[in-house]
Parts: sequence; structure tokens; C-alpha cells
Amino acid sequence: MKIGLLVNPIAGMGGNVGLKGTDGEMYNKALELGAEPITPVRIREVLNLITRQDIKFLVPQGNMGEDYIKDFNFDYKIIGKTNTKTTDEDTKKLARQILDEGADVLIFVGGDGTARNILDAVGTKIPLVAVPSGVKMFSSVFTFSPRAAAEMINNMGDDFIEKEVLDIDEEAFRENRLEAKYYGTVIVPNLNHLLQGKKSPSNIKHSVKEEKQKVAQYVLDNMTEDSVYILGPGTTVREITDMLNVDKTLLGIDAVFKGELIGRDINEKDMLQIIDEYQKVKIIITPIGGNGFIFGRGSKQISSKILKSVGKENTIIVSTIDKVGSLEYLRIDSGDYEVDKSYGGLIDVIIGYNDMLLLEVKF
Amino acid sequence: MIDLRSNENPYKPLDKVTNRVYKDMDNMNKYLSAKELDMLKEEASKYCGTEKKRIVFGPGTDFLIERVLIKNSQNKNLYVLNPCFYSSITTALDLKMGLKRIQIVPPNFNIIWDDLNIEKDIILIDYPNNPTGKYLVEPSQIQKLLEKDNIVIIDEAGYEFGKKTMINLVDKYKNLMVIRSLDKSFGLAGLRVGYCICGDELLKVFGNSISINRASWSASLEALKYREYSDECLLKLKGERKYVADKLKELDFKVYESKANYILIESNIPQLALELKGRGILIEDLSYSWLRNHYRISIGKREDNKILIDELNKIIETV
Repeated sequence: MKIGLLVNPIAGMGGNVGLKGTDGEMYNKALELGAEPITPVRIREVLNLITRQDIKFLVPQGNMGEDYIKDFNFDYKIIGKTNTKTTDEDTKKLARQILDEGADVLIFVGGDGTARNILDAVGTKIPLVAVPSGVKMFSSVFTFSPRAAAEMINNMGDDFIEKEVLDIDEEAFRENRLEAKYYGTVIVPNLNHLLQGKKSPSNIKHSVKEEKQKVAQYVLDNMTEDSVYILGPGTTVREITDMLNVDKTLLGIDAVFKGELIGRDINEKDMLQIIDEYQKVKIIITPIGGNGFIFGRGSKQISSKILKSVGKENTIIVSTIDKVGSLEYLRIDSGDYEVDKSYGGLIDVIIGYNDMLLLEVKF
Repeated sequence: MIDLRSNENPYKPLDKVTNRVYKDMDNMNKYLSAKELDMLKEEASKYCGTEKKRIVFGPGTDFLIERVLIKNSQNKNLYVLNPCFYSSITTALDLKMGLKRIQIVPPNFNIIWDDLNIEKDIILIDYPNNPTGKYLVEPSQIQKLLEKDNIVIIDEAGYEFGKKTMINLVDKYKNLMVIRSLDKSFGLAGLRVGYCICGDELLKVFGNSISINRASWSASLEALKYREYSDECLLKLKGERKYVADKLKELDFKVYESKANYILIESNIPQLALELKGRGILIEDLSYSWLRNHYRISIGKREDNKILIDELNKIIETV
């Protein structure tokens, strides 16, 4: 079986430094802020777990493929090359070349932006295995983790299903508006349990607003003076800061101590500093509707390093029943398997005053 | 409207039962006496195979649950499964108890007990479970919970359909209560008759008060006497359950095997419950509090079940 492999080396870099993507000009900004590449780690995790032997990889030269595959014992062929600094056009061109070489499947590593490029180049001509590594990952095409991607490659047969490629309007996103757009359909192996599912926007209804207030009140009544609270994005979390009369970003990460804002739109570095300075740090987060991710999608600033020092016991999950009740599981894909594991098992999600839903965290 | 949402028994009780209630209404001006209540307990104890003194009657299962919560709310959490259909859980919140809803998910709806360190709390579990129609706990697990000083309430409102019970544990565990009902399999939902079989400690919750009325009492007494009629109804319902399940499978619905008078299904038809409501049929939409595209359908009489299937056929043709 011929498998094309295409890595977007800059995907996901905006996450830890608090940017919402690396499309276009944002990449340079990410570099300025000291962002480090994410995808090499992700693809190595996948390659490490592929057990089937009947594979010949088709990879581009350099940091879009060869750099990673050469460390493993796979049979592979170079199909094209790029400059060190890669662009959308490189992704499209190389995907087409992989197709022309007769690939049966294409593995790609990236986010929604990468998925759109692949969609343009390949469409539904061959099935895809999408390794999640972006900041945004709204598309239902992605597996829920690199491990799931490896499992998908090991177990795929001849049965494929259609999945959507979605992306958000990045300009709107940076201005606190969340607008997902449908771009097209691709095909993936029919192994639904390994896919992340698509994000569904939360329903703003009157009763839901009331429920959010009850959740926020409960959290407030249980806040302690000696802890810093790192607050994730979303309207449920913002209800808490609204009650505190604190101006929170809707999509960024903020920090509150003794009822006062001590950090607004903070990144990984800022959080590490807070953890250093204060004895007790807690994270308040809401799962992503539809796929249930608590960490590893959306707010990538809360990195595995942060999670490791904060711990499951100091993680407060809030939601409303209409959003979280429809989830089979919560998910975590922080990039560090050991950290993910430490979050595994049942966890309380606050859905009202004194009211919790207990869900299993899968990793 | 055809109501396939409320989990009611579609068959009416025997005329003997109805007539007995009419006759006893002559004494409407009289409170039910302890002696009269004792007659009913006697009949129920024969039916359940348990001691008469352990049985308490009340107006519906939620009433019995609430009594336990009110007397035991201090510093306790109430654990239930999600989705949860008990109105008594709002009482738990009113009492400032912590409410912990354990999400159950397909295909097996397993509960990860090992992750739950439940001690000195209250657990309320339906057996079989609503809406899956499956037995989701093992008696051995319940015993473990009882040994950790928890109060366990097992709701066997659907006992008659699958005939599995934990009543045999009540003598051994003072903190166990098994709840049953005459609403479903005996067709007395309109009178709301629930009863429970209590371990020693929980028996104290109820004292000697008499909380059912004369109409409920006389209907229950007569219905329990002629329980072979209830068996007949159950047999018919099981046949209907198979008919509905088979037809739904033919229509490509995902159907979960059920041991109760309802079945859980999954369907990708958008707004299925709303679509059926427009056609005069009510089913339970579980999308709001639980999983999207999941519905619970109560089993009705053949003519109603047939209309359901016919309408579903028509809906599928238009999708």
C-alpha cells in the first residue's frame, strides 16, 4: 500500500503563544513570540505506533516529510521538495504530486488550514488520515489524537465515509467572533470512534443563560482566596468573570486572583510564570461542544507543561447540560501522553448549582 | 394523540378492579385505617416474597425517594445515572445535596465504579434502567456500595418485565431500599401507587403514617389478587415490543435490546420527535439532556404501534 505523508511544519505554532492560528502573516508573529514547532513531535508519535508492514511512504524532501520518516525503518520514496519556509501552495502542489504517484491514502499533519489545502488538491480522490496538530480543528476529518491516527492506519480497510472540512474566519476569530465555514467534503476510513467529531456551537437560549448563571454562582461560592484561577475561553466561563465584574476575553485565556484580573489573553509563558509565583493555581475550562475536548484543541496555550503542574484535581470543568449531556466522553490530547493519562477516568463537570455530570476523560 | 412517551401500560385494569374501587368509594368519608393498610401489605408481601413489616406504600415512587432524601440529606451527595427522569432529584438540590449524575454511554452503558469512591452517600439506580431497558448494575456491586455505608435505592418499577430483583438483599442490609410500583405492570398509573421494601434503618424513615388514599388502596388490593391478569398484559407487551423492535430494525433504526416496556433507539432523521408529534404521536426525545438522535419509545397496543411504524415509513420516504 502506498501512503503519502505530508507534514505542515508550522501548523499549531500559534497555540502556545496565544495566537489563534498560523495562517498568513500570523506565522511571523508566532516566531517573534518564540513559538516552537509542534508537528515533528506529533508525526513521530504516529510513525512510532504504525505496526503494519505493507507500506511504502511517499514523502516530500525536508521538513514536510523526509526529516521525520528517515529515523524509522519504513520503505519510502521522495516525491518532491520545498523551501525551508513552506506555504499553502507547497502543501497543495505536493499533495497533487503524491496523488500522481498513485498513493492509496494520504496522511497529513496540520490543522483546519492544512485540511483546506488538502481538500483543494485531493478532494475525494483518495482517503485521508488527518493527524490533529493545528490550533483550530473544527473539521470532523481529524482523528482525536496521534495515537488514534496510528490506530486508523493499522486497522483501515476498504470502507470509507465522508467528513467535512470546516475552517473559521481568522479575522473574525481574533475579534472575538466565532464563525465556522464549510469548505467541502473529503473521505476517511470508516472508523468513527477514532475521529474527533466536529465542533458544534453552543445554543444560546434563555434557560441556558440561567443555567450558566447557576454554574457560575457555584464556582464563585467555592473559589478560595489563596488560589489563582486560570480561565479558559467560552461563554460559560465568561459568566463567572461577568459576575466578578471582570472584563474577560471571550476566546483567550485570562487569570483571576482574589476576584481581580491579573492577566488578560495570556500565553503559555505567562501561565508558567503565574504557576511559579503563586502556590495554588486552578484551571477553569469548558469542553468544546460536539467533540468534548477539554485540552489540546482550541486553547493550546494551556500546554501539557501547564497541565502537568496544575493537575486533574485542580481542574474545574464547567458546562451546561445541553452541551455536555450529549457527549459520550471528554477528550484530552495535550501532546504529552503521560499528562493525558493522568487526566483519564471520570471527572466532574459542573452543570448547575451543586449539580454535576460525571464523564469519562478519554485520551 | 398517541402517547408513546410516558411509559404507561396501554391496557386497562380488570373490571373487577375498577368495580371494587367504585364500591369502596362509598367509604370516601373514612380515612384508611392501619388495619386496612395491613391487608394490602399482606397481599404485597405474598407477591414480593418478603416480610410484611418491610413494606411501605406511598403515592408514587418519587414520594418514597423524597422521604429518604429529606431524612438523610446532611453532607450527602446523591448519585444517579444520566439521563435521569426522577422529579425527586430537584428535591436533592433544594436540600443542598450535591447531585452527581453519572453519564452512561453506548454501546454497553457501563459504569466505571472503580473511579467512583462513593462513601456515606446516596445512590439511586433504576433496575432495569430507563431509558436503555438494560440491567446496568450487578448485585455484587450494590453490595460493595452498601458495605461502604451508602444508602442504596434500587428502583424496580419495571421489575415485572425482566423479573430480576435485589429484594433478597434487604434482610441483610439495613441501608437498602427496593422500590416497586403498581403504576406500570398493573396499570394503575392514574392512581400513583408505589411501594418500597426497606432495610431496617430505612424503615425508620417512614414511621407509621398512612400516605395512600382509599381509591389507590382498593385498586391495589384487587389488582394484586388477580395478578395473573398482569402477567397476561406483560406477555402481550413483550410480543408488541418484539414487533416494534423488528419493524424499526427493518427501517434501519439502531434499536437497543430492552428488558422493559420501552425501547431506546437511535436515528439520524432530523427532529424525529417533532416530526412524529406533527403526525399525532409522542415519543421521548433524549437529545436535550443526553445523546443527540436518541429516543425512547414506550410500547403501546398493536393498533398504535402500527400507526407509529406507518408514520415512520412515510417520514423516511420524504427525508
